[in-house]
Amino acid sequence: MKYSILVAMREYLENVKTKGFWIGILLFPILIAASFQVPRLLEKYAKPTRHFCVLSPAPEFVELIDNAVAADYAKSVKSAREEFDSKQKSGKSPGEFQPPKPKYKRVEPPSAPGTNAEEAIRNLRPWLRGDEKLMVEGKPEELFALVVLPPLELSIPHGTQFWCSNLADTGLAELIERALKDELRNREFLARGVDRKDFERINKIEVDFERKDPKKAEGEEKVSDAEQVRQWAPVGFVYMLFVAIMTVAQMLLQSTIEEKSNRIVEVLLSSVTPWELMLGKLLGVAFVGITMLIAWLGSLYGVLSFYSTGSGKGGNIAQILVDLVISPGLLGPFVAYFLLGYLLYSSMLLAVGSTCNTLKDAQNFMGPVMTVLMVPLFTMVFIVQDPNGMLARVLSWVPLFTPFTMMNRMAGDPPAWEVAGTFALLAATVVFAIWFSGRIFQNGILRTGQPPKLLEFFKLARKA
Amino acid sequence: MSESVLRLEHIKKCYGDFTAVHDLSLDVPRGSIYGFLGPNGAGKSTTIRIALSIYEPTSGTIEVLGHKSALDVRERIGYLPEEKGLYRKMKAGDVIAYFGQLKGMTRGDAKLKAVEMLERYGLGANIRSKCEALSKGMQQKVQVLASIVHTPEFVILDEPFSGLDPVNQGVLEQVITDLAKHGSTIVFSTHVMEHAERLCDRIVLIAKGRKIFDGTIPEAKRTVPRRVLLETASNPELLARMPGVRAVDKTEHANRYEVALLDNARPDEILAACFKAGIELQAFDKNEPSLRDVFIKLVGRDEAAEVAA
Repeated sequence: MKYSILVAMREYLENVKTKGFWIGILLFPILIAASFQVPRLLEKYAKPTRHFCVLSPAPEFVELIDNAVAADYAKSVKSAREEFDSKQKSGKSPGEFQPPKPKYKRVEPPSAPGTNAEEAIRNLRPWLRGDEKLMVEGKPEELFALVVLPPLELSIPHGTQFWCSNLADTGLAELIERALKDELRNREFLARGVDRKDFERINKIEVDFERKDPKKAEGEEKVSDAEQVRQWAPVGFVYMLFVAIMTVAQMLLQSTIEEKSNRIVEVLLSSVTPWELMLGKLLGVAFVGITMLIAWLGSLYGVLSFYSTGSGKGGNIAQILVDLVISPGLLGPFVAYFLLGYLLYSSMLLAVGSTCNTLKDAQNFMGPVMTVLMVPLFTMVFIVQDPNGMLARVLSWVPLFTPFTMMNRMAGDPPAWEVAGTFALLAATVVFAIWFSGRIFQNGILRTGQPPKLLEFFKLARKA
Repeated sequence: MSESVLRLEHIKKCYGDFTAVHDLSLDVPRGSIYGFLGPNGAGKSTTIRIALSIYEPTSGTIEVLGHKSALDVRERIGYLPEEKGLYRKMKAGDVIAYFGQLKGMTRGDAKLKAVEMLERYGLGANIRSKCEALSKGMQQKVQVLASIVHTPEFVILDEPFSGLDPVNQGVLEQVITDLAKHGSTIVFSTHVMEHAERLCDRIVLIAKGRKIFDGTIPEAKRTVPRRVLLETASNPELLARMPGVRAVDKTEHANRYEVALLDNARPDEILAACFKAGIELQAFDKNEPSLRDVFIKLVGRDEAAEVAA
């Protein structure tokens, strides 16, 4: 055991000492923070103001579009203002308030108007294709879109054209479509004698939808935001479990193959038995995994706590997530399932690694393992929606999937006997897997030459 | 007779139908430097692995430092395998210390010893270098040091000289003699006869899994008839009639002859006889047979050619 601990310590320190390990760990919270921030920053800085033209026989529709664009801009100024105020209140970044850049701006057509709409469109094509530039306030700008309204009565809502070569950015099209639609409906109601105010009030009616959970105590059945988020939280944990198990099991495989291909293993085996070596490696990398998880959860907690101080719904959800990350009801099973899942998969990979001389050889064997590992990812969403359904219950009893599936079901209060039963089966399988892999490892680790065929691979266990 | 550090009795090792080692028995006395010689694929490495209990023999028994398995006394043994490798990302000093710890040294002792050894054998500047940054020769020195950091009683080095330049071969010879002075017993296998000749007290010659010679170097040399080499334009065949001379043979080189001697013959008498008979000598070489000659005689020229490479 003393030697296993020495092997484990080396394995742990050598992995944890590398820069790559910490970069990988730090990337995780950075990605989360980025997923909050980047779209906002991109919206703010990267996306240019979109210039567009409107061709309409009726000037009131042009005005309508202008109003809609102005209202949209006012809304983004308001939200920027709010954010600025809340930052100022909490003492972060004072300074001047900078209103955001307008998203859209209507300009007059730069070309000759033509005698009819077709001609006007034809005249504008070079700008729409980007061959010609607009001059706006002395700077060349791209013409993003052209809106052509039909000359006919708008109570028949056909014939509006939206010319734009960018098919992905649909914001402007949606904005104009909504403005026109509202206006048409408005007119229709007015024509039928409905008062404008009534119309606006009717339009604002929302259904108050209160969700209740029959399993909860009387009087407290209301389902909160937190509970809804909580219901989905296992998906996050399953994903983390998957990434963590994959990462560390690969680490173990790599270090085994390094020792084997470098022939260090022979020196090691003159000092330790194959069993001691294998247990030491399993143990050392398990601690690497736990370090990684602690770092992840810690940084996740940090990032979310930072956002939870923000105002509005985002802050609330962040707060709910913070509570979830540190809730023992999820954290406890998460750590337990990580360890068992890790031991199961990595002992399999150790057996594979011990018989191969290069990572390339090992990858052939890795294929099936990876395919198996994909199943929990594919079923993740279904299981959350039906945590005690057929699929969830069947997969729970397959030890290879137990850690993921049970973690997945945690929010659905699975029956205690199923939790205990699947856990026991998983634990027994882990013990068997370590024993069986140990036999393959013992015979495989000094093997040289070609990796074994599948059948030979299992024969290795018999020869021990 | 001193006690033996390693005793192999009737060791046989089969891999399926192939027998790598046939009925091999050995006795390595304490304090000796013992050479394992033999062509590629002779079974040297297999024998060494069996001695270390890395492989189980198919039949036969081993006894290492008085124990049935090398694993029982692994802390007293040092081993350098034939195919050598290091953890690429670890520092030279740390690797040596790690292997020291695996052999039962405390962390502190292992670290101190690692530094001391690296300094003594010319790698003082590389203590904190990652192994991947070292040259191949340096790496090999680190491996040798890692295998002996715990001052083992019994050291087994499989092909320690291969891949080293002459300067580093010299350093390694120094390491081995230092160990021997310290009282360690050393077994090493080699292809280079000169090293064996300079260092070994005893050698064992293995070919095709069988032991073909086991003894001291003078004993080995006695297996080859003593001879002198002559180079002359005259015909030296009349020397064959001299007492002490077994035969005079032409060699493959023109004008060169090999005069095979009996054990009691004296080369200077041959020289005197040459003068007396008026044989005009261009060269007279009374060198003892080298270990290479022994090898060629015992193993056969074809297999020996592999070794000479």
